Amino acid sequence: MAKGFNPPKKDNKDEETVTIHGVEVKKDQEEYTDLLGRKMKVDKSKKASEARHRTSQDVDVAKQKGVEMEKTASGYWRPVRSVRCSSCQERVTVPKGAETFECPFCGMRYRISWPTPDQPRVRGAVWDAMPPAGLTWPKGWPGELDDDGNPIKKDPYGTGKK
Amino acid sequence: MTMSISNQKIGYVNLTTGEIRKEYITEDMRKFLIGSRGFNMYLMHTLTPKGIDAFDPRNWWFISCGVLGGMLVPSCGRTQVSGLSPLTGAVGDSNMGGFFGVEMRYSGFDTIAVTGKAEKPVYLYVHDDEIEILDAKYIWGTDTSDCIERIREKHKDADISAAMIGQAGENLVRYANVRTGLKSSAGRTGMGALMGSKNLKCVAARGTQDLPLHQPEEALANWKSEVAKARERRMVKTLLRFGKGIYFGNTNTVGLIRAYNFKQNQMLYADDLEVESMDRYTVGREACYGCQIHCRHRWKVPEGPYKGHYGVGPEYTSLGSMGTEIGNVKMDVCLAADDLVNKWGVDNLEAGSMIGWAMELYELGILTKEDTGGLDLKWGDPEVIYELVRQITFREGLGDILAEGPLRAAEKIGKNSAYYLVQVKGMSNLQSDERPTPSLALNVAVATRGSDHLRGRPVPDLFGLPKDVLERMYGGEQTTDFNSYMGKPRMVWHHEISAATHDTIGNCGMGGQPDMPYTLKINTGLELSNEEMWTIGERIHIIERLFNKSRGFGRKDDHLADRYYDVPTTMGMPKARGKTIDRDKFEIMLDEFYELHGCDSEGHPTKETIKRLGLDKEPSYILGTPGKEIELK
Repeated sequence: MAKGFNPPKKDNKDEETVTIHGVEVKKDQEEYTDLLGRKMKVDKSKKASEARHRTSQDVDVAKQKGVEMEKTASGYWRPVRSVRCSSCQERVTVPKGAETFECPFCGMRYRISWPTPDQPRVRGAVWDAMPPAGLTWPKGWPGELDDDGNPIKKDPYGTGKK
Repeated sequence: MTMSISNQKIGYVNLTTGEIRKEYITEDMRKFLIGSRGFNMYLMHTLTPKGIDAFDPRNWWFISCGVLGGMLVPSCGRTQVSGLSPLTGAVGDSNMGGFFGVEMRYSGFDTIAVTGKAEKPVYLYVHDDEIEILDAKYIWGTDTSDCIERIREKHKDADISAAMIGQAGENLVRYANVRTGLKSSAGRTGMGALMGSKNLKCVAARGTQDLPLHQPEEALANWKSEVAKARERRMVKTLLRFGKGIYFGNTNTVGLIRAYNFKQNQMLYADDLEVESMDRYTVGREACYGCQIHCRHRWKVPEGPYKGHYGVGPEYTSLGSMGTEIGNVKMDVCLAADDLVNKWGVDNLEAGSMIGWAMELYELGILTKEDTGGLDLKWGDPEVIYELVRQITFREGLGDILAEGPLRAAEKIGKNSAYYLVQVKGMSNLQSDERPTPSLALNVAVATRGSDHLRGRPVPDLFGLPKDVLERMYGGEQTTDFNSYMGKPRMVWHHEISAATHDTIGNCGMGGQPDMPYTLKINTGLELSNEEMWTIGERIHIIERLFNKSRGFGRKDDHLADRYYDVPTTMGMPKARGKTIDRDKFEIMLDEFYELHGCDSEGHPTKETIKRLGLDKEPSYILGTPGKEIELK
């Protein structure tokens, strides 16, 4: 497995199903119906999703878990090959060479480009995963907001951090 | 301590009389304003007669280079162009990269101030401590690519650099820009039209003089260290690979761009406008003077209907103005349109906004084929886009009205057309949608030069930085929520002052921000503390507010278009959907913003602020006094 935050499994349920945009999908399923009633293909890259880290606060924890970290020009530490989710704003590690990526925290899906072989960047959204104009994001959809209007950050890896 | 740059001068040119005089820049002047935007704003406020129209020959036009331009500092060669704006009637000011400013500095001048109007087209040739007024007959009517070639040929010197206008400036298009090179434009506020009104085609400079370094060894070590640091930054690596259009994809992803004038805040499936698709067109990279980043693509369209168009860029603005704003999602159409506006010398942001606005008016039936001369203003139609750019440049048909800028054009068209403008103080907004982001909305509304995204863009709350980091940056309470109104005035205030200071230095910010007091000292000998530099930024901002006050601008003008408050966004990520700006909260932000700047509730500087910043004795003519000239021709 690629280096990264390799989190503990939460429970046995994870072995059988994954939750995509609020819908439970069996791991061998190729397609599913999303909350807007559309037929969607299962994004296999989700399984390779790794982890999230903040900046310097997480360095020690991350290093203990074997995460490759790099020091930014400003002196902060962050995991290599990470991008910040534009929706929930968590920093997440992207599998090397991935062309699409799903944020493990809020489920938002992105197209990824690589300015350098070790540096991903969010190129844009996966448009098919975007609700049409005028529709609000339904409950359980990526980036779901709490009552204060902030994204609900899930904890898919059971790190205990929100 | 003596400055190593004490030979630098300000040149004053009166095109009506042909008078040219020069004034040495003293240490007092530097300590009061540093240079560039500081000098321009001071001179503009002091010298521009009250109540005149921008095209009045008595108006002034200023061009300056930052105080570190041409010295051993990365990314610090920017040029500032200023004057009473023909577009807004307020502060006119714009900033560009390239090589011109440094070339002007190497010829002995940091600033050139021009007034009057030449009888026939002329240009200024700056070299060896001299300014000559020369006949521009052989370059009048040329585009900005052709113009510089002819000048270099005439003077038999391929190293000449020029700040010039295209046909749009000659035709007094109110948002004509000033151009240098294939890419760099001082695009905003119509400084090219101001040049055109003076029959001034360009300022050409050839620098052969030295800019001595105060502490050469320290300056070299500092430069090496800053370059090494910059090259390690992920942002710089991304810029090097993809150029400055990188912001477009992310912004569109969140739902913070403007599409179809103001109808959408996101353009789905606009993949072709993302910079990754530039690989098809890129033939190389370019940088401004002394910059290691090379953030610009040199491109050429290799095939198809737009084959042969070439240029440098594109930036976010080009992708928005000639892309989503007018309903176009094709990169080659965008590049070709960008090539035209650049060569003809039109501000692409304003041109795209005016075309997008006309298209929405046409869709609504406010404009008809009778008004458009038979043109069918369909969204994204390349033929229509190019024809309207041409009509604007040469002031033909509907283009003649659009060339007048938002407010004047709306007045001519009538029929509630003004409601559909997306502008502040008569200048169109960047192709971004600030309804979900109160900090950016405030920034756009309060900018002294009209709607502005470059002189105080408060974006860090979009990056999910921890609250304590934001609070350390801004020195006050902050929130990480970009939808929130809390703490945003402080962000805008901070960035405005910071940008004003950086403009005096000529720093673009992309190459990092070195320890400025130290960098300034070892390069120039000028000693200023962080606090003194901050005060200079404040001073410049307050001078701009005083200038605007003298032109009748105040709180009423620091507002957004009605649709920001009334019409919710419909697209984008959850935090960008269904958003409007809350009028009441916006007013509270304004109050807080004015208080931070030391202004009253009308946005005008208080007496205490004016005194604190040493402006209570003005005009003292610390710059620009006739008694200080050293030579009269």
